[in-house]
Amino acid sequence: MKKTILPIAFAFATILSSCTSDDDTPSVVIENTSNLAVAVASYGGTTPDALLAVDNFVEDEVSPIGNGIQQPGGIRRLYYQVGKTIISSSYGDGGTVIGYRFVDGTLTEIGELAPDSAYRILSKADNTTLIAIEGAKNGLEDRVFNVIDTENMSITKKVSTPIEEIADENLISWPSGIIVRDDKLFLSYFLVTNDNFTTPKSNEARVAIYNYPELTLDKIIRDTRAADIGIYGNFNGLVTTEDDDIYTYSSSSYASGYNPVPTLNSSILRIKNNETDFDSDYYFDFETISGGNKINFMHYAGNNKIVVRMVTDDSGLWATYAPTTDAPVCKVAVVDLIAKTVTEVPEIPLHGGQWATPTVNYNDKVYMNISDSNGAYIYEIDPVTATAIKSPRTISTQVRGLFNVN
Amino acid sequence: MKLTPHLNIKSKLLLCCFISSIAVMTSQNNRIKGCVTDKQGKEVVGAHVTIIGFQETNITDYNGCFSFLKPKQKNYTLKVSYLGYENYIQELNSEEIKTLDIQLVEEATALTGVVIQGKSKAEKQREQAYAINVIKTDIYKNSNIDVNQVLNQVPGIIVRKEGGLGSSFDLSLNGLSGNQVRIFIDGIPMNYFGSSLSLNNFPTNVIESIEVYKGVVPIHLPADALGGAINIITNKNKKNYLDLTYSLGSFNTHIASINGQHYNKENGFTMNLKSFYNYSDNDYKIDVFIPLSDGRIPSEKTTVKRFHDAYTSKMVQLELGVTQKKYADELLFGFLFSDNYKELQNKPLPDKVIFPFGEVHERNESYISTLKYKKKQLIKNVDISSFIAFINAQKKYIDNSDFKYDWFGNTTNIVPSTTGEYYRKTDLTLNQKNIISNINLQYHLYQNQLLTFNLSSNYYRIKGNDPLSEQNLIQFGNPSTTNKYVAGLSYSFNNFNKKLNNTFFVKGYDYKINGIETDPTGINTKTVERKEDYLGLGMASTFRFTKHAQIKLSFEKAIRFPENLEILGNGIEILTHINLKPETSYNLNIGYRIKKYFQNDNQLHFETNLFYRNAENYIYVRPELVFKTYDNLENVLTKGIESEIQYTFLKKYVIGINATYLDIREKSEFLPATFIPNTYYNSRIPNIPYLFGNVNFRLNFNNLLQKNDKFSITSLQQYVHEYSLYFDEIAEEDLRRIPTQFSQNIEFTYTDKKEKYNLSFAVNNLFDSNLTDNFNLQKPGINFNFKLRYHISK
Repeated sequence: MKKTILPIAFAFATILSSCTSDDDTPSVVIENTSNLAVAVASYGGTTPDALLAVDNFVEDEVSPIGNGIQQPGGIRRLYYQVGKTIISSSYGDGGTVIGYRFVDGTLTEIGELAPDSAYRILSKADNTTLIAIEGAKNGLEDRVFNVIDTENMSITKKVSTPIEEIADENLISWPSGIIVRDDKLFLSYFLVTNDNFTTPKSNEARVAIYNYPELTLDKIIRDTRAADIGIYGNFNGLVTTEDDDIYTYSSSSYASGYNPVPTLNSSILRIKNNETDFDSDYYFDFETISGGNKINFMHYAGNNKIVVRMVTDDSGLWATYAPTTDAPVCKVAVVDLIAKTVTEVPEIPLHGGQWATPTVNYNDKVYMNISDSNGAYIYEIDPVTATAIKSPRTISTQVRGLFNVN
Repeated sequence: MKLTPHLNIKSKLLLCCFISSIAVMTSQNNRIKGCVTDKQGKEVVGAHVTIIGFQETNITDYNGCFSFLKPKQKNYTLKVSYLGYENYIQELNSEEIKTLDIQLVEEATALTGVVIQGKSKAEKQREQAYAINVIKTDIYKNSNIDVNQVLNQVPGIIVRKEGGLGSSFDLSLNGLSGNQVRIFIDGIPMNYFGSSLSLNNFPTNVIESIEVYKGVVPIHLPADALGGAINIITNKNKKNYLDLTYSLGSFNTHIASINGQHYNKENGFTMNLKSFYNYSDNDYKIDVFIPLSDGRIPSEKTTVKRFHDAYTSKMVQLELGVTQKKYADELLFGFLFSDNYKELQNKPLPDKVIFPFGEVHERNESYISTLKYKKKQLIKNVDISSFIAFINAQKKYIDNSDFKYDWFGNTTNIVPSTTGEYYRKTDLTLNQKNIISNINLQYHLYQNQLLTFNLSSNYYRIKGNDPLSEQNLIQFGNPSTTNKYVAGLSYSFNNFNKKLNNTFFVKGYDYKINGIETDPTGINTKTVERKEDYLGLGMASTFRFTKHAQIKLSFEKAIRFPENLEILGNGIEILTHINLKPETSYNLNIGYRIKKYFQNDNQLHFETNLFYRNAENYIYVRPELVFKTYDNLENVLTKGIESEIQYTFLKKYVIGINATYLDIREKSEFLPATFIPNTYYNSRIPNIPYLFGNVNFRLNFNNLLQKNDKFSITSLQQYVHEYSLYFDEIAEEDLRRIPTQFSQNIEFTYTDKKEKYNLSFAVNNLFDSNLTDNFNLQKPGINFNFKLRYHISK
């Protein structure tokens, strides 16, 4: 009972104080001390997202109704976190990229920039440096690295490169993941036809290695044991461990946009600490070990474990890009990269995939959006036990960003 | 132009029907016929025509015409009388066979104490049972005001423009817009005329009146309109005249028109010409955020001049034929050519930063041939009105610049590049062919009953080519066609001494599309045919309970079929949605209208209309996988009220006020294409103005410089209440509101006593306000227009 009296008393006090003061009384701001935030998409996708501070991810209902900061709408946005800065970036040309930080417990805009064309992938070099790449979907055009100082959201450097281009076959590179390790930038990419986005030459894993911060090409490493790395619209082709080992995944999934489907199994490769080549001793045949599933997304959970979103039915082209689907094909598993085991998380049902899947580590748990045509939920996944807890249904069609700014 | 349409059997039948109807002629030598006009050549409707000494009185119809049996005697006297005009008396000889052309002269004496209640044609139209607004555009003939501005003053309508002369616009009528509202010119659907002829360039000079049908559309306007129709009626003047105008305005704007008509009373030969030319640089100033060299957006905006927004359009229409013959009231062959060139300065709906284009442009041209035939009393009690139109239109859209422009005109060469300024480089040519035909038969039954049948067919074919874009080649490389047939039958009758007037109608729609369905890779294509029939119905009823006041009630179950693009997609970005349902709307209007005449020439006009639009399967664009698709939204419900009051003092001073309030709500139970309960159920549909109105003043003075000259001052004020770009429930603060707008235009017009020379001077956006109809798309600041019009007629 006491618990209910307090908020009522507080509400009365708020009303009274707002009645007695003349005008322009600022509404009482309850400072956020958790430094957690969520970005949610509303309605059919043409309405704006909202970025809002939350106390927790799975206990209370996440709702953008009268809550949070309106994002520019009309086109989907990409979210990312660089150190203390939350990045919100337009996926359409002519949009802007906004940086937010918690200032005195309140999410506050710290700067906004206008790129020449939309950023297709966001990643970080360090806690104040965002690496973003512009890339036209059509035509034989250079990709443009943008190095951005997240202290004031300014572009400090631009480097133009095709990454890899096969002009007579109309093939261009689409970046799918970036890891900066010491003085090297590792960029995974896949080759697509520039007018219809087919993938006729994907039976090879490729990573371009650049010298950092010069952004000059060092070399491109290739491996024919696995297919092209990463998938369209996600930034997670590469992950790095506490030991600075880099792991890559090859999806080989029609439902994740590979058309035609590579003949090689969906699998994981490694680039070891201090090495700049694929580790020829390491090959993880995910597809066989998981019993026929394909990797759609991976996230590093710590202690050589990753959380994987996997495709259970690969029959529909692009089918994993349907966060509100009524025919879900994705499941979640915890994968041990060393022991090469795949453990399905039983609490998470079949669900739709999404663009730029949001995941975040917080208090040794991994948080992730799980959605389908019945609604969008945040799941708290324990990578040790491979179990999960479900949040109340969020007031959204999908959670687009999960941030732990601690 | 080539007239080799791909006619199917139905259109052939219709064509045969059309031709044979012309061939059927009746001999009516034993009748006296004629038409009555006023000094301006306007039809006088409702004038009494009698032969002195006989009982029978004939009343002129909507065209101001009459026809009755000749008396047996050889010489007789015809008398035409109409309130406010001098009686017209003519001696006639029954052996003379001719059509009378009678012009009435206004009574010179001041009719103090006598109230003039002659009703104009427009007034008669307004009294129809339909929810209709009729705008007589003659007061705009000397004015700089364009059609969109005229429509903006109609309650229930709001026209949102992106910028200056020729810019894209969106017309919303009682909350429905785009293809949901159909626009006609003289009953011919305008959306098939091609982009070169549109409400944003059609000059008011050639327009006699504009009819706005709200929600319920009579069957003589044949199209699948969901939310009403606008019919532009061009001049039907029966006199010889020549009308020249030229106007010069800010931003290097030139607008000219030449219109004229030759009519031979003896043989009925009629020739009329309508033409216009519009040009503007549209280089008005706007405030924009210009990113710094490191990409950051500064906190202050910079004022820049638009530099790539020029617009040119022109049109020539020539009609030849005969009017007022015994075999035809009107038989006219027409040929129309129009074209335009339009530069695009920026994306249509930018967010915060507007990146300028320097070379993107489009060109449109249309060639239209028409044949019109009208005859009252074709056979006993049957009137016919029909047309056939052949339209060839071409649209070119070009975005192939190797340069990137900034707001100061600086360029950066970006060769080699496949990206244009807007999107991928494009050099698109679209060829559209369209055949529209319509036949309308009216059968006058016993005791003021009227049976009307209308049949229209609309064949549309589009094919395109683009050497630079695979996507456009996939979408338009193969022709896609649409066939629409709309048949309507209506029955009208009067009761209680014509106090109650009713119309009931049914409309049958038959619809067929043929096209190519493509998978997202553009590799696999297959032919698609979709065919459907629907039935719509409606009614309109009005009751005149006093001489001045009437109530109106109208209802329609309206249907709109998806267009080709909506069903077939564009091959890459927009997916095929073969099962997209037609949108339907249940439209209801209840109106009250009063027009009262007082002493001293004071007049009061008041009208209010309550409307209800329940739209189901509302068509909208929804993201799907990595693409987009047109889909049906379960339910959108609109309730609204609009009112208009106009008071005229001493025939000289007019004040008009109107206001519209729309309550347009999302009524879908679940979020689109999901089972997620819709949090926005009952939310106001965003990005639609919902509270707006106008206040107009007009002061007329006579004898300023010479006797009987005219001088007038018109002041137009528009108010649009702020509204949200998005559902305003989302987030703490709505950062993208379109602010409350108040615009003010003033115009001075002078006409000499012979009405030959007319001058006008207009100041638009008098307070130089930052006006915008769309988020972050600024319209011109204060600007000026000077117009000269020369008119002779006899």
